[in-house]
Amino acid sequence: MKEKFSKLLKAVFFFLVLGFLIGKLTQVMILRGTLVLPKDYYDYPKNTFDAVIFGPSTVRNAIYPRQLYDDYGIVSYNLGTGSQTVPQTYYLAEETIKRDHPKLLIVMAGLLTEKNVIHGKAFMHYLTDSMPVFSVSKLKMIWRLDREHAVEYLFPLDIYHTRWKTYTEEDAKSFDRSLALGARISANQTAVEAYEDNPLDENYALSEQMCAWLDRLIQLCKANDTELLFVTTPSIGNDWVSQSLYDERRNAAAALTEFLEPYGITHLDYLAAGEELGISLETDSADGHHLNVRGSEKFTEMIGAYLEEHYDLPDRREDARYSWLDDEKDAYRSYYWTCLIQQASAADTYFEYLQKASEEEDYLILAASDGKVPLNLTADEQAAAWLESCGLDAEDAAAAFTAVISDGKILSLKNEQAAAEGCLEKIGDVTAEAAIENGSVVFRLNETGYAQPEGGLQILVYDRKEGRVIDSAAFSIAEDGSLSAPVHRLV
Amino acid sequence: MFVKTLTDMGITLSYHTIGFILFFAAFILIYFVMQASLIRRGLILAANLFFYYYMSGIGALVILIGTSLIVYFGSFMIGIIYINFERNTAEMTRKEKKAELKGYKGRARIFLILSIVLVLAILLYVKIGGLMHFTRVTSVLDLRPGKLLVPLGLSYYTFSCIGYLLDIYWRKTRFDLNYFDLLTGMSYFPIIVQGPIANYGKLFKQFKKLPKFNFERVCFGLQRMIWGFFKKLVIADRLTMYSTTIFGSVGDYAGIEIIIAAVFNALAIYADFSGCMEIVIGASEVLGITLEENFRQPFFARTAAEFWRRWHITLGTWFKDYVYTPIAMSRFFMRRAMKAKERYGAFAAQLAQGVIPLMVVWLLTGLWHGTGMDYIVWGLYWGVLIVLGMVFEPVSAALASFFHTDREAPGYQFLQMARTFVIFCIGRMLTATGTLAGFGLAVERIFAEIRIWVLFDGSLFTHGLDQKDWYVAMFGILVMLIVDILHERSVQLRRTIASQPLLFRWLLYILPILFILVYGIYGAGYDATSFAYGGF
Repeated sequence: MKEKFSKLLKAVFFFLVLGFLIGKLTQVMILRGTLVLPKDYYDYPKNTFDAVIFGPSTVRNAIYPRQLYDDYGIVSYNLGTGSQTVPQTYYLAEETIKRDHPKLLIVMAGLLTEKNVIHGKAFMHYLTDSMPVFSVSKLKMIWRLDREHAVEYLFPLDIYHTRWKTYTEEDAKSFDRSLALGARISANQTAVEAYEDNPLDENYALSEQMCAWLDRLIQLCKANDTELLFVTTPSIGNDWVSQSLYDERRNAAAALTEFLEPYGITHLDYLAAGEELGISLETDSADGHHLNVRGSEKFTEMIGAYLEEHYDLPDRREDARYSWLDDEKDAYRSYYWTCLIQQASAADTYFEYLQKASEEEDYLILAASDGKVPLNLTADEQAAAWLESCGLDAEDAAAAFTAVISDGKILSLKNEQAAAEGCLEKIGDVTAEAAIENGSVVFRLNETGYAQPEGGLQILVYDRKEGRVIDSAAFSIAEDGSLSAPVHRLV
Repeated sequence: MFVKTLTDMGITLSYHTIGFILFFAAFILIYFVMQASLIRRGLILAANLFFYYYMSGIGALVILIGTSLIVYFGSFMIGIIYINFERNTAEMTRKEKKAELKGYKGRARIFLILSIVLVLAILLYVKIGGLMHFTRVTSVLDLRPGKLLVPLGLSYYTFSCIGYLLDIYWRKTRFDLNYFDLLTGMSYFPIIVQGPIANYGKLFKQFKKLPKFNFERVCFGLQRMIWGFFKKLVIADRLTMYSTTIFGSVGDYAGIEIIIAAVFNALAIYADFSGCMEIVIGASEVLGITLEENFRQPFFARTAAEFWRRWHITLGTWFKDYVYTPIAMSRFFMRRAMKAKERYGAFAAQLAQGVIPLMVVWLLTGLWHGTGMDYIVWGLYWGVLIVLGMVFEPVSAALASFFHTDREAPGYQFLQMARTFVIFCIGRMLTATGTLAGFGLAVERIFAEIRIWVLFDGSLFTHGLDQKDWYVAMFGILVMLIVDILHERSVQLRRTIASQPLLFRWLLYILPILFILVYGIYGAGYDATSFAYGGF
């Protein structure tokens, strides 16, 4: 009997170990991404967040919970995911309410014009891959919205195991903790053109299916004493969405406002009202559809001010329970600047962010130009301003030069003929070298080389607090001496 | 409703799928909780019927049950006739009994023939219907001339039924009065899809004495299943990706590309079929029911004849017991053999008695596998090779003796095994393209250009298998070869592993599972383009 029991115990333990390892393997193989539901949301203790944000990627980009906390003391989390539809929001909200009992849900009703309950299998994975294994809401969502693919949602290895072929070091990193509390910080910049604001169709009505799901969501919140606020982010440009779809969305947004009126629920419809927030079509679009950091900070400011005025959300800035947010402030700011520098898609924004970041962060910067085409920063004011702030004037930078910059100031500079010698400085435990070898720029940090095969102006940014290189950017120099958009190299 | 729910979820119960694993796991949990043998037998029957219904539909289940009733009736009547014979001749002498038996056998033969004809008729209808491209239906009510309903495992259970009826007729086994044991055996879910072809007499006996839970037996069974999944998902389905690409449009390839496809095709069918056998035999072992082995390291065979004693063993045994032996031992062939022996000696007698029955067996074997001309030629191909092997054996022995060649030397054996493997590959090529014309084109293309450069220029990685898949495939083949070598040397691997320290053992169990989960060919697969954010 004792032996039987021992064998049974071993068998149970074996299957537990196997299950654990399969779970870990699943986590290793699962897709990462900036539009997947942030897994670390479920690592926070229950009842942490007073407000939770839902909706598609546009809202994931548009609302920064850290900014809401820093400016208003509102503790929130952004659970926006790629192409999240209203039915998906319903189940996610159900899960969130059980977990956090938030006082307020901020919802961007995703894809109001969508005919299907989900936009596609991939976007369902964005949610199911991160939700807890035994989440009842997840099971209900799968069952109701896409049971045909239940096996791969419940057993993600079914599709992700083939990723072994394309697995990289990046994939091997564990899920990074979302210092931005779910928000996606985009620093790209794409100039866009405005849509035509055609007259609204007064007869437009939301589909019965959509109304039913909205009603369910509203009843869910009512039953759990949770307030609901709907928002629609500004549609920033016409690269992704055609004029006709934009018109349909405007109609849908207006229909949503009308639908919510009898419930006494507010809909902040900024779809066609970005200008009111000061959002610029030139500078505030990341990709022709999503807001970038400039536009998002403006939108978040509007949201924060609205919440402060209309909702009784507690200010948690003095609450000891939330001191971890203060503890993480520096880490968040490092992350924030890293995102901006790594993603900057224009020379002027790159140097603007680099200069601002250098004021807050402890950066060691290596800069060099091979001088093959003389640099003329007349048109690149931000680049000129940054160089000047470091103590390097435009004349010095016109010909070949190498420089080591720390704390925003030049430590070492060699230019023209001397540039080939390179600069070598020891700052703390880091030995930094910038040189021009065989006509190409080479940067070294503690003997590790970072070859810069492109010509032109090269910048390497090393975060001394983090102890790692956060960006390597190359700017080719046009014949007139102006800079191209940065080419970021993964390091 | 429950079945519809599962099918809505895209769950299939094919042996190598997660659906089967869940089904089997749920089944054995309930099975081992129940202690009473009768309940367990009922559970097996219920699981069988559920499995069959799920996989093949109600129409096919009706045909299976109908066939079981025919077999039961036939076996019952034959059995009763023999029981009457035993009773009525209890007081007789042996000689008198033998004389009486003729009459009883004559009556029994009527029921035998009737049952076999009815059972075979279904199989023949399906084979002919397939040949004539009848429209497939799923409901018995839709069956009419020109329509076809193909029950799952028809070929397998038909052969087992015929074997069972013949064994009863030949008094090798007694008929089973318990209809439910017959139905359980016929529908037994581990064997219904791909065999092994069961001897029902032996199988039914096991159902009557289901063993209790045994930890070691269950562990061994599960380990065997894991090995089967490895063969099927890591090796077979991967190699098939290459061979399907090549044989799918063989005119676009040549030389070494086709040769590799032929080799991969051979290895793939071995890994696939034997892998499935590992899964089903392992599953049955978990339940305490022993099934016949169907493979015994076939690539170690030195002759064509030996190959078929190691490959799909139960099919070969069936044909030997129920076709070859009855024909060869018939009065006609016995007389021929005697005459040949008188005139030309024992060797000639062996040929006179065996050649025609062999060719009949191989023609039927070809037809069993498929009804196209390619399968008929395939069957005759093997028949001719085996006959030639028989005919030239004395010549081979004489030549070996003349040249002082030790035919048991490892080098000689290896050459024989290589030759047998090549023969097998050619045999596979006969049917790989689907037509004889395709085979002809494949052979022509092998000699049209050698294309040796594909081994070095990377183009080999563009024919369905990329470089990383090649590495995994090679690794899998190597592991399979090592295991087969160990089995050929009678090493009991599972027992050897079981005697290792706990942590090492668990590593050997867990690592293959994780390997299969990562490198197995299953599921929808990750398509980066569909995950690229193209939405809003």
